Amino acid sequence: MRKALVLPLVGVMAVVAGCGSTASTGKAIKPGPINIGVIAPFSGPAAEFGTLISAPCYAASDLINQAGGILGHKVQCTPVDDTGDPADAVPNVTRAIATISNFDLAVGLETNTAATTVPLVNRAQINMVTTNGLTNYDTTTDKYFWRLTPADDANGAAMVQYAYNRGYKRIAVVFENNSTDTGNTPGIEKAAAKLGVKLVTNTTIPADASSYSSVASTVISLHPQAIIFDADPQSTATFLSNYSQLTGGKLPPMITATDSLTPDWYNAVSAAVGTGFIFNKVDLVGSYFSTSTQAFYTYRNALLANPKTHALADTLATVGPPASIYDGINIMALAMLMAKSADPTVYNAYVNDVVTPKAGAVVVDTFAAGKKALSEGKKIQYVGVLGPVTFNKYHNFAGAFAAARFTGSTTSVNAAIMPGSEISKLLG
Amino acid sequence: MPGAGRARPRLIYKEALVHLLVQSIGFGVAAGAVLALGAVGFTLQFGISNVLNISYGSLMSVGAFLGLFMLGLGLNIWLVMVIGGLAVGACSVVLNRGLITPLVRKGMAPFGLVIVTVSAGIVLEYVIVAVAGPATQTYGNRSGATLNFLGWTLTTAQVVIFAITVVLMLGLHLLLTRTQLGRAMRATSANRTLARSCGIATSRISDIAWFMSGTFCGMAGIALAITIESFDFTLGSIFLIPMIAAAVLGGVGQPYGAMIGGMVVGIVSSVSSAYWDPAYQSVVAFGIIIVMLLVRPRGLFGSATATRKLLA
Amino acid sequence: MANLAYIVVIAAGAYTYGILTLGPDTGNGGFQQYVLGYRLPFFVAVIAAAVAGAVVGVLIGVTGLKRIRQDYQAMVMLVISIMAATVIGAAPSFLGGEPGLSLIPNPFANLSPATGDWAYVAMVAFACVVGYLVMRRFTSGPMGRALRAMRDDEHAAAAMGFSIVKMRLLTQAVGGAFGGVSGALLVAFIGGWSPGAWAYVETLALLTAVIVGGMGNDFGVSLGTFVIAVLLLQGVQFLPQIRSHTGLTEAIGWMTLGILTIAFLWLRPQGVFRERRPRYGQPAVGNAGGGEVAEGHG
Repeated sequence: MRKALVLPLVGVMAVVAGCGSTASTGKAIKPGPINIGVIAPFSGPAAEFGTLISAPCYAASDLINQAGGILGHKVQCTPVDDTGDPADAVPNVTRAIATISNFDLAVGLETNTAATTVPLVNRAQINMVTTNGLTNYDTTTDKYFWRLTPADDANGAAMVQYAYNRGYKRIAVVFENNSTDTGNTPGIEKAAAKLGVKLVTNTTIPADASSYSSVASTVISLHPQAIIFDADPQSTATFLSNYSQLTGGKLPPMITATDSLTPDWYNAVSAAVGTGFIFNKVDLVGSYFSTSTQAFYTYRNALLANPKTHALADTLATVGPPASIYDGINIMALAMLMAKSADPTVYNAYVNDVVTPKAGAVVVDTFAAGKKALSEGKKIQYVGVLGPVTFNKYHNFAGAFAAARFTGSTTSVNAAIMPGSEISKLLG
Repeated sequence: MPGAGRARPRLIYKEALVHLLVQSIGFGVAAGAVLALGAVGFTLQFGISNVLNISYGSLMSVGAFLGLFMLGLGLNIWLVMVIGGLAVGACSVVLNRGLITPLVRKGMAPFGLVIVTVSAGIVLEYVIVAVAGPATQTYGNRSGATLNFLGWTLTTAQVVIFAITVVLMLGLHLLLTRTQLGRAMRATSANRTLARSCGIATSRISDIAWFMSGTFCGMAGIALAITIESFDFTLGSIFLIPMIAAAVLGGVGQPYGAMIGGMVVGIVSSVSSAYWDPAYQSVVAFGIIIVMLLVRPRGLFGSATATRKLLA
Repeated sequence: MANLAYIVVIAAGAYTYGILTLGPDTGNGGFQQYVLGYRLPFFVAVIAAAVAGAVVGVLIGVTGLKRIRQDYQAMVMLVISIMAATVIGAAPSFLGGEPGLSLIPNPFANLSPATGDWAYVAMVAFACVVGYLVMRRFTSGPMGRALRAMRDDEHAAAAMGFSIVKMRLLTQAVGGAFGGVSGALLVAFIGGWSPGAWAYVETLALLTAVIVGGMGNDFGVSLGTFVIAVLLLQGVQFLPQIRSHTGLTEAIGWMTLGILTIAFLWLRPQGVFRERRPRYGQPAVGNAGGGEVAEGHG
């Protein structure tokens, strides 16, 4: 009968896991390429995110291979599907750790699944460059954890700071009930209290409902000057079209997160309420990097050169997390060269060395330049797309924030820059 | 209390409160029109073939994607709605002839049939994914001008869909009460064996019922895709729960009950999400299904005959 | 009849284990919210999960007491499981809302990964054996005979003096306790739990396992689980890269699952392994076992 059902399932999972970890213990570099596991959703509703987060990996690995690879090995990006669900991610990541040879670096591990995948990867002693926004990792002691993007509460605070800078004093906050969006809320509340911005409503909506008219009607009745909103493309389009039906086409300025800076979002929203709204009223707040450095051009040209990522080059031009993966891979690759080992338990100790400024160091903005300088016996400091990076003792780095605007379905520009120190003050 | 940790300041003045109530009733009526269309199709097929067809939601998604394909060919949206409806009607007959009827003939228990239709629904959904991909799709902005009357704010598309629903419901009413076919359908619904012994070709009636049900289903799918603006392959299965709630509220197998049930579920969900945490929007529909099935399974408008059929 | 809301029982066990071992929700920078928040020892939390599973099982069982049509009952159960997931997902401060609970401690966290995982395998295997033995006692003793009688003909069973209501609720409580324990073991291993982990499609996967393996045969169900969970749902990941079209691999997995369910219900409703009927007194004659699901009335 049915009752004996799930126990064997657990057993099976444990067996898979058990086999896995024995296989991954030998850390000596094996013949064949060094694998960078891209742990991200490649199926399910968030599958688009997997494609976006793989692109910087392809860009970085192409450039590393052109420069002759690492210690005689080529580098290759291997997708690991975390399905976007924390529980379903576990068997997939466990299996990847068990079966992928030379699995020496993991990238991605985004917010929805980080809480289950980060511990797995850390336990397997594999370095990771994660883009997750969970606040608990602000003070993590996980040895193999490295993050070059801000936590979600900082992003929430940056959204309020931006609204404040624009002169909005009455804000409506509407978020979908998912991990990323609920992660923004504490930062929004703290920043609003500090800056004296009034949150006229702070509500969550379910994803993919057939109508949000009632919620929109409530928001309208509260007369916000702007709305801080984040939801998946489909729910956003439905909400905005319901909203504009009620106001005769008028929509408030909208502040959202840069995770909305995707063609899917643009297509859904422009079909519902037109491009005028997107170009003139939507600001996407996220971590900032300059688009006029040599490092950025190198990154962008690598994206353009690979047919797999060519179409994404514009989309990624102002989005922080993918750029942080590109920089992260370069930093890790240079650390491998310095350590003369691709074994994370060895090269992990060199990561800080790659980015710290030091006397007599050559500043390099690509893997190739770094490799050359190291082979000449020089010290290096890597300053990449994100600019100079300094990790705190928790292996976290958060730079400045900016608000970006769409200028086309795949293009965007940065509108306003907010220093990281200003935002962290709001959270303190 | 769940959700109590979240600050939800609401400063609404009294007239704004009344305005919000009136408006959300308007949204409810608009949503109810689509719900009624879907629920009537669902209930019609159930009444005659006595099979709870969970794949109905996925058929709705099929309709929406067929609509997308036809819009791509440049057809008029309302023409698309008719053709899409008829096409889904045909799919529905195939589903009945190819899967449901043979299994019923084999004597499969109702529980087994539920599992079969759930599985068929999943297969249909992922056929859509395999063909059209999992991405979000849209018909574009087809809502037309916004109309204001009676304190309601509705779009032209919503009003047209409401009118189409009313016309179809009237047509169905006339069909059921004024024609030979309608009488045969009602007879089959009330007592299949007796109807057959009276010389009614019940399997042909069953085909017609599945066809009509599928047509309503496809049209509801396209209507929903028009009003929701943005959808993916799960469109219909998300909408299935409120539709079943509408059907159950009115009494499963009762077309008139489903019409009223659709309106009630639409209005109640809409009003509740204006005054309550919108995250709980769908819970209202869930509650209706469970309470009705456990307390009064024949629904508000179910007859005594229906009651006899429903007892185990 | 299978209980389509059984996943809720597993979820109850998982959440119970989670909130009883995670400690107060102010830990880890307070990034997740939940009620209670104790740091109880592993075995205490597992027992609590069993109790929670039993309680939720009985609560669900109460709705099953109302004698309505099988298919209505099935629908009520499906709706209960979807509704439970929706309500918990919508309430962030109750059990973590949609993001769920994470960083749930593993009892073997202090051991090295390899040893820890094998220790977990051993523990789960032990739990399976204990569970199997308990279940055998339950289904093969007098109680089991009474339950079979009830399943095959409720009226006859009632006429023989069995209390149907009591027996049903007892079954639900025992089944619930098992579900609760399995939920706890599952969540202690994976470390996280959220409404997405117990969506109703997961129920379908479990049901396919039961149908393919053969209802009423413990061995068959175990085998079915292995085939479905490992070969199908995980196996599609090993298919060659047909990722030119996102979602295609996933779609193939789900379509296979659906078609397999329908095919088995249609062609071999008794599953790969049919129920072994215990023989009472005299040897059974002819085909005593198979076909009770679909054959019978034409």
